[in-house]
Amino acid sequence: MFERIKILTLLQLGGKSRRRAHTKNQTIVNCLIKALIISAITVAIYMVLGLIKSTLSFPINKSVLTFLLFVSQYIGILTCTVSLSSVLYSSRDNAILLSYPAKPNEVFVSKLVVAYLGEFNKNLYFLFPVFFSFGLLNGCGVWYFISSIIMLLFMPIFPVFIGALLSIPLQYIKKLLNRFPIAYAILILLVVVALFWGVAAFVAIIPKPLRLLAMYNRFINGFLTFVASANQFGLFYNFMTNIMYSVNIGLNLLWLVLIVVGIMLLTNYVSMPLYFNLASRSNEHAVKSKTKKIKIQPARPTLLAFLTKEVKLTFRNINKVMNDYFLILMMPVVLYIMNVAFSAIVVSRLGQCMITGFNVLVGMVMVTACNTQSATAITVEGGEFVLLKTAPSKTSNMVWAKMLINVAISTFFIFASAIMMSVSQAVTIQHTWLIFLTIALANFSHILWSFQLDITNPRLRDYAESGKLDGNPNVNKSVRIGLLIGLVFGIFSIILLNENMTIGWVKIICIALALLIFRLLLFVKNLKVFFKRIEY
Amino acid sequence: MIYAILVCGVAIISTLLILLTKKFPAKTSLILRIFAYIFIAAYVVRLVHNDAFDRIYGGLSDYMSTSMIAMMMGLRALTMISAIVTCIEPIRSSKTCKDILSLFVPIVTILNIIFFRQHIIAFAGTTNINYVSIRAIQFAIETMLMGGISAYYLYGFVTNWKERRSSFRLGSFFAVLGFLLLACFPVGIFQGLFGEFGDEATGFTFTHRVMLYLTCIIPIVIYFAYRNKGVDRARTMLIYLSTACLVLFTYTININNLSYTNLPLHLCNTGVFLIFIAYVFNVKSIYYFTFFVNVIGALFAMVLPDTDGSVFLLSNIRFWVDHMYVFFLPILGMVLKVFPRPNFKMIRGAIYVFSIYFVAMIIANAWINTFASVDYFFLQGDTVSKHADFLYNWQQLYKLSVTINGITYTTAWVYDIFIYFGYILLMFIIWIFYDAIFKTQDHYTRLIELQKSDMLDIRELRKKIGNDITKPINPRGKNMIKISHFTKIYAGSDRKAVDDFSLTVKAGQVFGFIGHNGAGKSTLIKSLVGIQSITSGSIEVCGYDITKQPLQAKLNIGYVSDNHAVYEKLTGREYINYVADLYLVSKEDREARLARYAKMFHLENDLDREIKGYSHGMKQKLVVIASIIHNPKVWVLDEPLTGLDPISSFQIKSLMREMADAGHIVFFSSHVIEVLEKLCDRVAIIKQGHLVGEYTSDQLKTKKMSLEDIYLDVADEAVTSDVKNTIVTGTTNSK
Repeated sequence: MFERIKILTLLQLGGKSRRRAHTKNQTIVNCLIKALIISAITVAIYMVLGLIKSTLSFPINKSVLTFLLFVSQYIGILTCTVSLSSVLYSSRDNAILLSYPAKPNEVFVSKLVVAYLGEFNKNLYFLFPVFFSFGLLNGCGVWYFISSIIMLLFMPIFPVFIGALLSIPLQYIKKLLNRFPIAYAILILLVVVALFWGVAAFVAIIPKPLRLLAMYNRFINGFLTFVASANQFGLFYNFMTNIMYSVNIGLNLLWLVLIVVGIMLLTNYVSMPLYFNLASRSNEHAVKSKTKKIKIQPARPTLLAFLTKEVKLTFRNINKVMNDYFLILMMPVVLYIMNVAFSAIVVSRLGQCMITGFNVLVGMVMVTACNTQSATAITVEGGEFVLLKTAPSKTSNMVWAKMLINVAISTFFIFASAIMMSVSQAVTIQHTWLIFLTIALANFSHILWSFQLDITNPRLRDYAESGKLDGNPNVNKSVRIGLLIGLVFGIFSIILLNENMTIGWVKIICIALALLIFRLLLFVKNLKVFFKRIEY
Repeated sequence: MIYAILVCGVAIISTLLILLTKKFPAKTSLILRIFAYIFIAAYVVRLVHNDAFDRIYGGLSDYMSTSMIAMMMGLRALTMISAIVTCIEPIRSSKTCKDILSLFVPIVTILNIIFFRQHIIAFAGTTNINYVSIRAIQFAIETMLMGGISAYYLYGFVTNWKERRSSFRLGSFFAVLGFLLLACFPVGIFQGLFGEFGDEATGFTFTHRVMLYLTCIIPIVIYFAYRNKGVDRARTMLIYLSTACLVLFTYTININNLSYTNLPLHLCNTGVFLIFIAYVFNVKSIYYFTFFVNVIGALFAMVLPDTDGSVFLLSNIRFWVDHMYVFFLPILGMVLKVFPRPNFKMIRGAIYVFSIYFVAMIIANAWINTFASVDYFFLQGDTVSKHADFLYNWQQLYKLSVTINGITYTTAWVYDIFIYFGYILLMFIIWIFYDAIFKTQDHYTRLIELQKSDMLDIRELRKKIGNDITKPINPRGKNMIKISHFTKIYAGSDRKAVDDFSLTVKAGQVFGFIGHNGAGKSTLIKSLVGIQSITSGSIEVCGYDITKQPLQAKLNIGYVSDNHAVYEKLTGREYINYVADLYLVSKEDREARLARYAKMFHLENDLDREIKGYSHGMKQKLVVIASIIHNPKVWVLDEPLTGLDPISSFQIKSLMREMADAGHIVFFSSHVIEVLEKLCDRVAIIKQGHLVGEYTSDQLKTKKMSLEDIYLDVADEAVTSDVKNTIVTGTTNSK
């Protein structure tokens, strides 16, 4: 059994890692690079925490560590639940893995092992540096560092196993929502109402004027009280930090082990039996016949044909669209809260410039993060791309159709954000619209750039085979470029507006426009040359 | 008297050179090199002298007129160029520099002889000149050697007048001269001409920005000037520039006045020497050290200068010029391809050199600070640590002291380790940055090449068939598929997936072909329908070249792929509509055809359902309908019957026959021998990318041959190099 689980795990890992070392030297180099990156992150976190501790007099203690663990791990549980619900039950590799001479339960376990390793890897780059930085800053002893390594092994168990348990009800809820679109619409409406209620409640508690320095001690005390009360729900994370800080090691370790065993048993008796049932369901004959017959239409221009198809697919994949554009959907709310807080602070001229800069930075990062759609626009055509390659028309128009959808959605939400910003009155109306224009222009440049990434390096076959975008290099590149554009414009806004407000805005808009024209020219060139050379 | 000595010296050296090279013509290069090295040695001696020239421009007016001062400043600049050309040309020859040494340097030598006295006044900073001083003797030797070597080159120019005249290019001569003049411009001249002005270079002031813009513009200009001139000329140019950088750096150095604090041990100072060594002696590890370490160091120094006084203060101009050179010289070496792009091995070499330098600086700081105050690589002072409290604390808290013979050597070990690893991390970040630039450069180079190739293709096509490129390239092939010498090699592979494949299929035929997995069937089909590119050869569909006239050719093709991928969220009818739009099918035609085929495949009741709910066979049938919705002349199917139930399979086979009978070409691949045998008018066997047999159904019947036997026979054989030569229609290369 263990041998089969090992083989299944290695199979899945082999599919995930594209950059595998082939020689001993490459392995050593890879390990060294990883160690170097982890060391660099540790130093960076140490410096940041050191700065927070020394400059802001913020306590860096066991309680804060527990809270940090608690928050990061609860986020981990959420992400694991969502990702496991697709990895366990609707992944394309299920068809292959379940057909192997292995029990479905072994496939299930292998999938959990893969998820565990993924979580462990993530923790290695974040929690490990955090543990070490906390230890160094608090002058902890050797036990702290040894136990923190042991805790690293325990840590991924919780999000993975709890995620596996929660993914079952999530899967049923998904199916229910798919079956009853009205329920889905009601749910979205409820979420939106709850969100607005939450925002309104949050905004109402922001004191005006907001004097950060005067309220600093109050804020710290309030935060520590909050941390203490939140830690009451920390459960096993309290046991972990207790072990690390040498508080009742034996008892806490016993509790921790008992909880881990409990969760494992629960997964074994609840998730495992349902796994095969859920994973082996097919869509065939699952869709009801549509009563409304669509008329045969005359030949349309290709751009219109592509656009119609894209609009239909967008509306019929509303779940996917919501997931893909989640950040941009949240943008009006986030910018509103941020600006309400800003408007409560009395700021200098430089402060005003910084507020504008932050708005540009946050807005751009959120908008461009959603442009991964553009960075995978060709790739997600997968096997269907064959049709475009064989069609006797200007099929490169499909890029413009897809782009139009992306631009329309993002511009609409940038516009909505601008309205929310105007309401908050943190920046003047004119500046709000100038921010809107800058973000819209830069976002369009980024969309063009992201599309170009996919045109020059599409992963059609990978997507056709796996149905997933995991490890797609264009996604990471697009996010990196978006972050860079956001940073550059954010910093430029602060510097240029501080020099001269009017000329500063002219310069910023000119830079955004120049970037757009430059990217448009490059995009058109790339589209002309590389689109027809895409092979499947 | 002194003038006579100088003239005689020049005459003697040039005569000696002429005689020696005539006596030993095979050793000409060696002789010239020896003289060049003597000249370099004489020039280096200047370093031990306390040269007043650059420090006393303002004060020179006490000794000579304003016009003479200007004249002398100009002459110094020209002498610098002459000296550098005299040093390098005999060692690394270049045509234009040879002309400069032949025609320009002699004039400068004559001027230096004429104004020898003024030179000595300017060097010494007094009118009480002493012709037997070290500087005067050195300058006399320098002048005589420069004059002698240049006179020899002038002699060569005159004696080979006809040949040299024809190759002489005045434009290049002045371009290189101008370039060298800019490269070697003595930095003190700025101060001499403009005095002290400009603001302090501590922030992003106007002059600071101008300097930074210049730092970026200069290498770009040089790159565009030299990008197409070849690696050899680029290397020569870089040798000249690195020498100019070294000469400018050492120009105001006086060894006698050197103290521990101004030893050239800082990163960028060492860079000046290392870049020179890397280019002149082609030392890779040193080059990559400068590429990864010095470039970033110089950039930091220029962006965050820590200098006092105006930008045009002599020390500040030197700071800018040195750092500019150190910043862009390694970059130019890389972009002009003088050195190959770095890989891990090279960065490792650079780390080794950096480690040696770093350890040396730790030792130097620890040692020299026991009796003087130095801060090499900013490891001792607070230049870096003052910007971060924690670093300052580390520097103060964690100190390692070793006492030897009563002397305590101290170093801030934690701080040192942090700086060391910080710099190495920076090197890796720089590597990633450089890598991104290289990839962008490669991408756009390829884009331009492909653009050119596309334009050439269109031009060629126009030449062949006139301005209307929508006409068939081969009007006689209107009703056929013609594959000529088709070869396909996939990117990143050296194996031919299909090799020199030729075939003609005429209208009204069902043409099937068979082969083992990986034989090249799908490759051939994908190239035929335009999904994949063609490495060599050509494919014509109904007289249109699939590569050069893809739209016209594809209008005649209907294709059923082996993956039958469809948009699952569309309904069947929407999908067909979408495909019909792409194939420009009119409303009436698509309506009639869809109705007919939907009925034929029993899909009428499912057309308005989302494809997601279709079975495998239904999807396949939908793809089949989509592929013939435009009634194509050529119907290409890749494994069309895989996974179909017997009825669906029968329906598709019937349709294939029907299409062929209606005068269309049906071209398909299959693994099922019986289907091929029963359905096809012609069958071809493909093996390891070669066409190894081709049979008509009549041939199979008359010879009473079973396709299965033939296939198994062929499949057992190894393909030999002469396979393609033995292909005969109706036969195989098997026994």
